[in-house]
Amino acid sequence: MSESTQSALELRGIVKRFGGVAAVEDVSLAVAPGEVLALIGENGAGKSTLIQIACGLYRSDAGEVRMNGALLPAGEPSAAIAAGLGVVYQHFMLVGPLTVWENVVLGREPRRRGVGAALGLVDRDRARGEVADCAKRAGLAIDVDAPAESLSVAAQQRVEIIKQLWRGARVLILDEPTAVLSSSEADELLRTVRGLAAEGRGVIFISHKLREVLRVADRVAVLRRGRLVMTAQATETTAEALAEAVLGAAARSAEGKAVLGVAPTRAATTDARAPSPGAAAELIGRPPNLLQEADTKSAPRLVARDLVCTDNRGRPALRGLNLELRAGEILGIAGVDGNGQTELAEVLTGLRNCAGALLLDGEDGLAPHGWARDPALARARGVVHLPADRHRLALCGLLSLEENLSLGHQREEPWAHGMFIDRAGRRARANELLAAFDVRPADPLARAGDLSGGNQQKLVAARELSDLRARLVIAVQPSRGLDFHATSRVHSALTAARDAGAAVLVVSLDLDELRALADRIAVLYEGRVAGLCAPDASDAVLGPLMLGNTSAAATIAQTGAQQGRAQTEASRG
Amino acid sequence: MASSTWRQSLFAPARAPLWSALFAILCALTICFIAILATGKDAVNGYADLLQGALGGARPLGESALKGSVLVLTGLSVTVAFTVGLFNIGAEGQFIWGALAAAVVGNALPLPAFLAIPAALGAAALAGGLWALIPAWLKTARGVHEVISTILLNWVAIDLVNGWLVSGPLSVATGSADVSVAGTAAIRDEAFLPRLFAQSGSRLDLGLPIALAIAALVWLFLTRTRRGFEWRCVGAGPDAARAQGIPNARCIAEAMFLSGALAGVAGALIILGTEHRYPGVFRTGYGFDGIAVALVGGVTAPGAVLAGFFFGALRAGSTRLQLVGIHPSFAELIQGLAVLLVAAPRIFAPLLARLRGRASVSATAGVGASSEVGGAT
Repeated sequence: MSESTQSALELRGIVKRFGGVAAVEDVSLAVAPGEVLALIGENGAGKSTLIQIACGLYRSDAGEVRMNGALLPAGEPSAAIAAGLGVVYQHFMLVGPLTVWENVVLGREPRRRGVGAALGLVDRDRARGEVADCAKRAGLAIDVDAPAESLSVAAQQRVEIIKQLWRGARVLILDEPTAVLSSSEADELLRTVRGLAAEGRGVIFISHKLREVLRVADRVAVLRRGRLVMTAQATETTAEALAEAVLGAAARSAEGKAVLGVAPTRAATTDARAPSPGAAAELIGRPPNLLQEADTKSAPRLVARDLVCTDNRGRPALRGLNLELRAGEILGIAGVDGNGQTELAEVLTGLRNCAGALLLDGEDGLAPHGWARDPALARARGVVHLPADRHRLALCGLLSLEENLSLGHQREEPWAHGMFIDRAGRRARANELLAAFDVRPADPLARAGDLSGGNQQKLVAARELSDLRARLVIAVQPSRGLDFHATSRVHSALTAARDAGAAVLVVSLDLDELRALADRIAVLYEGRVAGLCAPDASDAVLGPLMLGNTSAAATIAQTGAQQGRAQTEASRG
Repeated sequence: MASSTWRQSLFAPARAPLWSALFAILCALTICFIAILATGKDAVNGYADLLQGALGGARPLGESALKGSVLVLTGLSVTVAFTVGLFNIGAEGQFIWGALAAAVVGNALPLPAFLAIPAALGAAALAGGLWALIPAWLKTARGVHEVISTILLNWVAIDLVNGWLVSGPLSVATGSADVSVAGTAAIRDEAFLPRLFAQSGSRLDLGLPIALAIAALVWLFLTRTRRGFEWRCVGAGPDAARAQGIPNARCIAEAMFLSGALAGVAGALIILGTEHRYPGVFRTGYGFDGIAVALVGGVTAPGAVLAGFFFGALRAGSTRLQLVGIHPSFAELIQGLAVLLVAAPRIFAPLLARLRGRASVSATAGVGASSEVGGAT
């Protein structure tokens, strides 16, 4: 162990410019052995650039990186790794068919001794044993013989962490590790992170979520526009103070905090909603609050009865799901990833076959040519979709922004005129939408694939949520990978669609997001609704439901649903 | 995954297609020049003759334009299939069926010219289009990769038509007691494509304006119509297109039909314009060259027109190369090199990027080994 006074990793006066733009401006940071340092800031605040400089992928324009006091040569990733710096990226780099232990040792397999060494044979037993030991020491539950592709996202992340540990990392950088996890998985990860620090490792933990940052970190550093604007002991700061630092002085308290999950109560979000839907609501062209009163008494917009379907591998995904959704309501779908959320969204948008009964305003979707049999028919009935996998399912990366905005509407005014594309109309409408949803760059000829993740999602939201006929909105992980402003933009568009009379279904792994958005929360477990809750349901209520503890669920569901409805009405009245 | 990467990068409109294609052609000409020198031949005179044969006067120009018109159509054929993300290697087979259909209809139907020519062209389009629907169906219904099926169907077409039909049932000599002669009977005079500049001795015929008009229509369709846009969406993002309600399988079938029809019409131009019958020996390679035309043309309709006429000129000029004792296959070398130089960066760029990524990963992994030893002590 090195002395505790010395920093494990230290960045001094780092400056990095791209073109004339400073991505990182004179940032100095250090993490001590045994310390968890949280690094927070918006998309584009310079977090990634800083990390890439630390691990040698970028060469900084000024400043130096030191590991245990020793200067690291700039721009040499191998030196950083040799010095014990390990990074777990958001996108995992695992070879699907290989087992966990094979993935961990890949590239530096232990050789057999003796004759085997001459032949370059891999000492499989030793490799497997070392990986299993390493996992056990760090308290990471994993089946080392399972193929990587069979693992859940959370387990794949554990493999990446084990890989770094096995390679001797003394400082671990985790890049938004909880973005892909459900809340219980995130809790598990936070415990792991504390454990790693307790063993004397330094950890840099990057996140958008202030509450978990305050739980896991010893110190918090905030980057804004490339500058370090704040560092504080986690015990001496609050989520509000951090939100202020992240968003800058201009941050309006209510909006920012709701998005950040600082104040995820019903009252705060309704307040926040009032000023924000402006642009989106105008585009939709209907006054908000139009359908508020009528809804509770009208027939439900969407009724799902006994839905059954399989996933891509033919295993049961939905196993008798029942759901009702009213116009002018946001129903949140909570649950651990892989309990049928994706399949439910695909069924409702016509992308996946299922059995059961599915009614949209009384119209049977599962009849031979019903609306849920074909995405084109679903779309024609006003079902719009913000998929989780937006690169694949929502956008053509090679086509321009205006072409992507017209996708799905390409046969309608103002996008088309007769059998031809209305190029002038398309350009005008695209410019309107890009401005209204603040897509950057607002260049209708830019390629969709060149946009950042947040702007891609804003682009999809601009297309889907400006749809005048939207009757049912299906949004899956609508804020995954988005920064605070983009999240707030997408959230306000969703609430604007709700207020304009659409029925909205939001699937999210982030309970804070659901609490901020939803009027009711349905918890999915193994392809069924395990319970319905009020939007302010605590983790103590949601947690058991998400883990399938349905014994207590019945009563919770009853009271929760009633409470939710009562509360919704109260907040609107 | 790997194939979709290079396919997408090929499909991606190049930033400056004309520019890079011109550069590639210049490089190809230079390399071929050196290759001719290396064989000890007179490259300067060879190139002069090539130029003379391609552009030196009305007749050579006519030959270039004639061959160019056919290549424009086969190039468009490959281009159209590319818009829905399919690599149609089968233009040769579709071309052959189109040629045969034109020869049969041109011979069988006693019609005036203004009907006979459209009828023969229409039959050729239908024949080529139907043949191309086979790989489209195999692709959408059975998941058979179109590169495999179109390549194999080429040989089916060649053997069925050349090996059996025109030397057997459709042969001119069938029914008579004479020795069997391969090739169909001649088409009627009314079905001949009129020559545009007959008095100058040029064989250039109505095929040129036909090809240009078709190219303009294809361009208009792909870039300006709703359906053309939907095809491009299917090519650029099949899952996104499906999720937005665009029928993938139908778009693929339509595009493959048009692709085959274009290759079929190309075959008809040869039959109606210069051969006037389906000859006993008919191996032109126009269909295969369409792949080169499409790739060098940046997989766009205007690009196919430019590249088609360039390769047409090359074909016309290459016969002259023999005058100075240079094998005409050197012209094919130019064509092949041009394709390689245009396509190579786009095929290899993602590959290189991936290799670079892998190299750095394995490098880091390798160093990680020593670090663990250090960390343990």
